[in-house]
Amino acid sequence: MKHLKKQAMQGLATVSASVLVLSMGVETLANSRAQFINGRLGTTNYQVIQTDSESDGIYYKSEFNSLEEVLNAKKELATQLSAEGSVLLKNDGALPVKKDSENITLWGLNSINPTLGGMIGSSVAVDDENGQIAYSLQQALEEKKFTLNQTMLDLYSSEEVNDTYGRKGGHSSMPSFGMTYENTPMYKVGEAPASVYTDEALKSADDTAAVVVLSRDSSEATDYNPNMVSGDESDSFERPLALSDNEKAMIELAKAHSTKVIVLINSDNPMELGDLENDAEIDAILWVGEPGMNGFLGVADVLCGDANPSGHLSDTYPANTASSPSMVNWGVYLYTNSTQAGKDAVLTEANKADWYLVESEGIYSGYKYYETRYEDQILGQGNADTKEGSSTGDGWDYANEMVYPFGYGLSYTTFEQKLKSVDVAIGGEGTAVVDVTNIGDVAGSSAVELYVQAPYTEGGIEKAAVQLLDFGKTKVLEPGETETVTITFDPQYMASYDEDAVKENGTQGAWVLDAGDYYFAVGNGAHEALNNILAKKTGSTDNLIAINEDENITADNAIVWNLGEKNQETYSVGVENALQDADINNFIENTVEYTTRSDWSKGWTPVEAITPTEEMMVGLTNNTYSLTENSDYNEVWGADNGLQLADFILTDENGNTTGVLEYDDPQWNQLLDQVTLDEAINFVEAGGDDFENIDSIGYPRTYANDGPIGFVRDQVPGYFVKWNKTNSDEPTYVAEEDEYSGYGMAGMPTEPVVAATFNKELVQREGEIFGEDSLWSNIASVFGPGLNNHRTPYCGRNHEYYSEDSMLTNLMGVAVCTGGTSKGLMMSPKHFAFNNMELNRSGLSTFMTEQAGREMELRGFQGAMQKNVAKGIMTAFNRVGTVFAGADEGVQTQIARNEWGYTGWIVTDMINGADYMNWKDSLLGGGGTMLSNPTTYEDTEWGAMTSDKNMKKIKADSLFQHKMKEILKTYVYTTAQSNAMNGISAGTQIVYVNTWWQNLIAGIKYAFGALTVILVVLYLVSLKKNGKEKE
Amino acid sequence: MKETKKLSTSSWLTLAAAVLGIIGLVAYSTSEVAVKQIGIIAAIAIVLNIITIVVSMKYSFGILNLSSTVSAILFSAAFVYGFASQLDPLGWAVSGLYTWGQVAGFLVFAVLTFAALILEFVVSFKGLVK
Repeated sequence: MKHLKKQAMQGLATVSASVLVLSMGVETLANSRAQFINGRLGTTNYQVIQTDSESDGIYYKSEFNSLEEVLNAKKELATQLSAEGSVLLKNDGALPVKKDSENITLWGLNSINPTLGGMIGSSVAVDDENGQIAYSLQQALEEKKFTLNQTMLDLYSSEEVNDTYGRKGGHSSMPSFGMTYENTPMYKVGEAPASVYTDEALKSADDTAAVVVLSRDSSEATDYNPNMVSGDESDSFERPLALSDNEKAMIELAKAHSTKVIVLINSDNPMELGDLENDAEIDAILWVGEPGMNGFLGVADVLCGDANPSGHLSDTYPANTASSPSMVNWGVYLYTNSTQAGKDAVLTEANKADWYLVESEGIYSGYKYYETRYEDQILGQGNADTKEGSSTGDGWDYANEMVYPFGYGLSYTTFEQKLKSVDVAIGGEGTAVVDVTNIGDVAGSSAVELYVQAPYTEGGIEKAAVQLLDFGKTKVLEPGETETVTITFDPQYMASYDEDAVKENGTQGAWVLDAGDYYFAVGNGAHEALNNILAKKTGSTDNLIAINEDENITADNAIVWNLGEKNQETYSVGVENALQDADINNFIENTVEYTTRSDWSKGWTPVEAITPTEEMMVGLTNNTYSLTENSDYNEVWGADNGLQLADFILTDENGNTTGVLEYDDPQWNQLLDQVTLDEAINFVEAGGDDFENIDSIGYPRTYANDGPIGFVRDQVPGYFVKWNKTNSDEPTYVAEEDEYSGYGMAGMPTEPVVAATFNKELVQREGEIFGEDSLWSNIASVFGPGLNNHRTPYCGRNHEYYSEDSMLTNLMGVAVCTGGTSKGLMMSPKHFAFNNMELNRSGLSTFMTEQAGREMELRGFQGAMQKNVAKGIMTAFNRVGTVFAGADEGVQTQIARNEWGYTGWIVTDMINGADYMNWKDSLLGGGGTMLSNPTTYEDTEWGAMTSDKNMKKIKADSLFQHKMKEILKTYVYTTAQSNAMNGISAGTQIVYVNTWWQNLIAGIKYAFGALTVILVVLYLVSLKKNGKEKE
Repeated sequence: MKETKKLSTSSWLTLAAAVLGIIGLVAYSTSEVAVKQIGIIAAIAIVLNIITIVVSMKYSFGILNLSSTVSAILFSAAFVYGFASQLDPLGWAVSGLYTWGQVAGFLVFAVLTFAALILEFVVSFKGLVK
């Protein structure tokens, strides 16, 4: 009997302990999905309570004690970014120079007129009156104690040379905001002819090391074009991105009068460097891009060896910059009914719709074109060796087309990389492990580039032969030192988009992982990685083309991973075709023949003279949506719920923010119900540089400015500008009297240089420094980074975008946005989306395949928007298909909101054509606020939102009101997470509370915990008794 | 040397729990998203059961009775925490984005682990040795 009692006790203890474990598990699971459960049960984890808190309302604090400290940190970081972002392309031992024993002659007129940044949004301007410096190459070298040939500098600086031939201020590209009907005809390189060099100057260069500067500048609102001619009669060139005759002559002089020749490439647009690469008398080539205000200091560090270059090209450097299929439709193409069509003109000036761009290359731009065609050349497939696209006129041969591949870069030391393993969990994470050893003589760090090749079948989904998947970077490794680099990647980016796929739920369009072998490889650039894959695939290196002498082809650096069954569901949750209206062939059949790797001879015919169909005219005439009388929604305005935005900020015990209420929490709706309709309309219509304050909910006036290299000085001439004396008690307040108050803030290198660092940690730090500028300038949002693609080398705005590769862009975007967001800065990437040509960018119809749109352009934005580290998005000027980008529902609602789960706000670019960038189409097309002022829409076809006529219409249109509420929510939710809220403390406080269902689970847990303890004790007691009785 | 005893009902139930656990573990290994730690927890419970049976055939240590309690706790943990990595796949199966076949491995594991847990309860009430 006693035995039975004891066993019953043990049994009960077992059940109780098991239920305890189960309830603990259920609690963990339920809390991990609390938001979902709350949404279903109508419960919330947050409660508003009245508080006597004496919080200072400073939710984000600076890590610095003074503005001077901020400026020093910024200069130091910009220098490091530029040093790591400089790419050594060739070095026959000329670098590094010994600055103690070698004198330097700067060659090339652009050595004194270098370009630092692009015009307008990425321009470099400083407060020189108060001692701020935008470092030219000369100033940087002098500060770093190089000895320069002053005679040559004097020659270049002289009136007769610089005033006649020079590109003063570093720019000859100029923006054009008007409508243009011809390609920009001329470009001035800014190089002087050989005749200007005096004997004295030439003699002064003897026995010095030549640092030759070749430069191409850039500007938004203009592009390069292969047909340009020289804007300087003394000069000429085959293409503006090829070397000009004056440059070639200058280089010949440098070669004749120097001990060594080092060439610096000061350009964000890839130049044609084949002749320099093949010239044995050119000892070294260093790409430095447009390095920004402080970047030449980093370049100087590289030149003298204080920094060991570890950058890799963020773009392909082909032999002929105009040779890729993405150049086929480059330039001005007009609809047949454009304003220029005489009697056939239907489109009006107000429509801003005369031009179109057909991106006939599909997914094959940049290295994805050159390397994919290379694989097909090697494998003898797809007519890869036909004459179409060949630069020589003979059959296409990779060896003739490539100079420096994407991702290529050298170091002063040598690294050995070994790919040890690759693991892939579809739906989870992938990891690649790479051992990197410094087998050279000096310390340095090494970028590890991980590429993948997905299985391709002819006639199946178009696929590049190699694509960057992710990357890592070692610390500085001493000679002989090894580091194991583990790269974690997201396998969703291995998938290709198939617009014809029908998923199990019946919807069309899916991210597809085909069954078969996936080849992962590392390499010094895309070409070496592909060669490693081909060596693995074919079992031989015999026919492979090594484009650079140092190339190390080995099958050991490629690993095969097999996917047994095709998967088109895992990465297609909520995915549906959304860009079918961007494919011109869906409007007019067979208008364009797209590039395909099944036959490389196709896709080389320009698409001339499109006549828009009736369907296309709807978008081209800005008639996408109309206000209607409807009552589907019942939005409340002007309610008195007693809430303030600051109430929604969650803080820790130090008053630092730990977040805000979850996006789906119903209390946001109660807050938004307090907003009046007038406030909402005013906010939407005049959003942009200043976000209007909304007094009914305590939403502060919030400032936002350009741009990707920091707040530009032409918009914000100094740190003090956005401060008001009422804010003077904030710790980062800057008074006008401050010594550094007028300093220019745009101090970072341009994005291609930043991308070339292949260093995510460094770029995240760049974001943090942007965040510090935000705190010290009281500007809570920056319109940057630029996350569009470099479709061609010819785009005038390539300086504002990272790369030709969407994954490099994606990962850089995530890094910089993560850094900025950590300081409460609302990072707002631009230009969403398809800003692929700057000439006539306003209103340009942009056509592409859905696959290209998603894989080549949108993938660049995807990371930052999917992770919601991008807090805002600026839309593009162009159209997506025929609909204004800021009014395109497919991109803004289906892809950004539904597929990526983006919760940030959307704003247009500045209104440059108020009829096509109109508020009606934008709102109803899933857009956001308008970057306009109160008078912008007064004289347009639709009129101002605040006009009596439109106010009446809006009051009758419940759908429109609903859309406004949705927009407001994105702003309110996001701004509450930002440093715009610094200085605003709440009289109330939101506290976290458990819901009834959480209390229930916890109650069960504690009850069974107590019961288990009691039963265990009773069991032990019974055991003891049992033992005594036995005795 | 002690003689080997005949297996008691509780021993058979313990063996049955171990067998169910093994089948569940094999099924779990075919799951699209399998977490190693969950498998290890279940495996420990299985091994513990087997050791207990083998030892109980020769010895009658009272401590062997605790084996069912420990195994029950381990099976409980494997069962409930196994769901942590399966919430998304199960949600996709419900929404039709996954076929049930893709989560079948885990479901078999969950059912069999739960059954093993019940058997452990019975054993702990009955006792393995007196």
